[in-house]
Amino acid sequence: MRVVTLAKFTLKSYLQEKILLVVMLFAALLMLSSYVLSPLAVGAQQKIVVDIGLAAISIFAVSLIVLLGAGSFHLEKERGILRALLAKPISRVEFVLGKYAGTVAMVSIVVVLMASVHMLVITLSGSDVTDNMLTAVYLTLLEGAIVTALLTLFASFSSPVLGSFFTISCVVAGHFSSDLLTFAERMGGTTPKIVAAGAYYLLPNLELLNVRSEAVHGLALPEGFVLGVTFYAVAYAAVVLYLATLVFRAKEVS
Amino acid sequence: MAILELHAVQKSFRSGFLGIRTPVLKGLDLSVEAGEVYGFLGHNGAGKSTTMKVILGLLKPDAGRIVVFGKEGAGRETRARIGYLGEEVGLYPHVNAVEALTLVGELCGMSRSQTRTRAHDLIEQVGLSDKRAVKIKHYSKGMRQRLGIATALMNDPELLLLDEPYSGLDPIGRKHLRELLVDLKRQGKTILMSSHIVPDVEAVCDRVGILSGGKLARLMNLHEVYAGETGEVEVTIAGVDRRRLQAVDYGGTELFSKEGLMILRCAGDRKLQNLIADVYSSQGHVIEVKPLRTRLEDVFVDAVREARAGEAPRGANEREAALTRR
Repeated sequence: MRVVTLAKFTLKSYLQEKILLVVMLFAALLMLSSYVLSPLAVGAQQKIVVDIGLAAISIFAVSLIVLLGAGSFHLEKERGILRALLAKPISRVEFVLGKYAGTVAMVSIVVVLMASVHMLVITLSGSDVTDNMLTAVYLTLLEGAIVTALLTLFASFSSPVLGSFFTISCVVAGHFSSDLLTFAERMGGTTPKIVAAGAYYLLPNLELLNVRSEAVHGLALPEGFVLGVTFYAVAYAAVVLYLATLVFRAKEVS
Repeated sequence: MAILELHAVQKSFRSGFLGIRTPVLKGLDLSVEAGEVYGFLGHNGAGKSTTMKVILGLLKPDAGRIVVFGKEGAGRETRARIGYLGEEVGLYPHVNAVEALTLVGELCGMSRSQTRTRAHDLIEQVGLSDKRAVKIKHYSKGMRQRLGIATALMNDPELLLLDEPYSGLDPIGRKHLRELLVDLKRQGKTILMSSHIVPDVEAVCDRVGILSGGKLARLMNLHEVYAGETGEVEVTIAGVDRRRLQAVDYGGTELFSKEGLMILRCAGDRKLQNLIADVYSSQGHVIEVKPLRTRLEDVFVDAVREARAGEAPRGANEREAALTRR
């Protein structure tokens, strides 16, 4: 119950931020512009619209998590809200979970709204919304859940700038993590191999959650794929959140 | 029965590039009895806020024990019985007073109807009825402080920890708060209130502890403080030529002099008798002779000075003494 209350107030504070509206307007404009400019790519109009739309949803969702999430933790500390809340009968675990749930709720709303605009643009361009497109949106939500967990972890012990930097680094590296495994396999020597393999397993495999290509080209996804990646994303986010609670429990609130 | 006890609590903070530890609390012992209002006085940076945070478990002490309601530390159950108002009020700016109190009520495990009733009562009590629907970001400092007091009272706490509660309040707000604290005291609430403004503490507290040098430098009952006489008197006289009086050695100081009225401070010994005799012999008259009582402010200043002198390195004591003499 306390987690829900905190999540509600966290979400409410995000929804007051002007930057949320600005970013969403920008994302909508980008999607509409893809519709306007798509005739320039002769024969690939539909693919351009779908690709740009799905990419915009993913990029803007992650950007919002970093922009709003890191600032939110910092502002709550600066304004004494964190201290006031932790003086009440709530545990630090509940606080972390409440903040996390509020941020994920904000990302979900943003993704659903952006996806709605995207679907509208696709319909306007004369195409049909496919299952793969919906799956791509769903996986963006899962990516948002992982990125929020990472941000929660980093924000619990570092400044907003460092927290954002660490999160963005993880997102970028997470999209190239499969290259690390290839790199590890080709490496000579045991230590570099172990380090590269370790980094691969440590970083989130965000490319696993990217099915844009399948959505654009209408390729079929393997059976049980969605269930598998859902399990992966939930497990990864849970482990990172657990670490965040450990860090936050040991932290002093001055 | 003591509701709150601190035993030899130590707390230091890392500072600077090398992270050298600076001690703030150096073995603080404190005991707050049930139903009393305890004034926690100290100069800026003495460690009053740190003490409150240590009690609430927001900061971890380096050493020592904290016992609240007979239990070690401030766990969730203990915090449910405490109300806290920090230096910064700590409210979400985008919500209104009712929503802010609803958040606190729900976090304290109160039911929705209980929360709503209590929130409206408290808003009334702190004088924010006409501002209940206004977002907190539009509140003045004083209004935020009043709402902060309401949030501290939301769970009907047995123990209230108030860190500089008068901060930012105008005279009307101060008066309201004073009355509210007296009322809470009457209800049997235990209050630990920190401040560096002496009159605020004098107005409501039963006992006063002065924190200086990381320890409790003095602990006293306020009625004991006021019972103490300084041995000096304040004499108000009229109808005497000032130059004539200046010629008399009464061993005191002139506090005020205007249009034949003078207020003098002098020792209440034989010289006072000489002064009075001289006034009457000069066709003047004595309006008032008031024995001066010990003031909490003086006790506070003395305690801080003593603690600082005890801490100062060799040579600094003499320098301070020389400055005081000057």
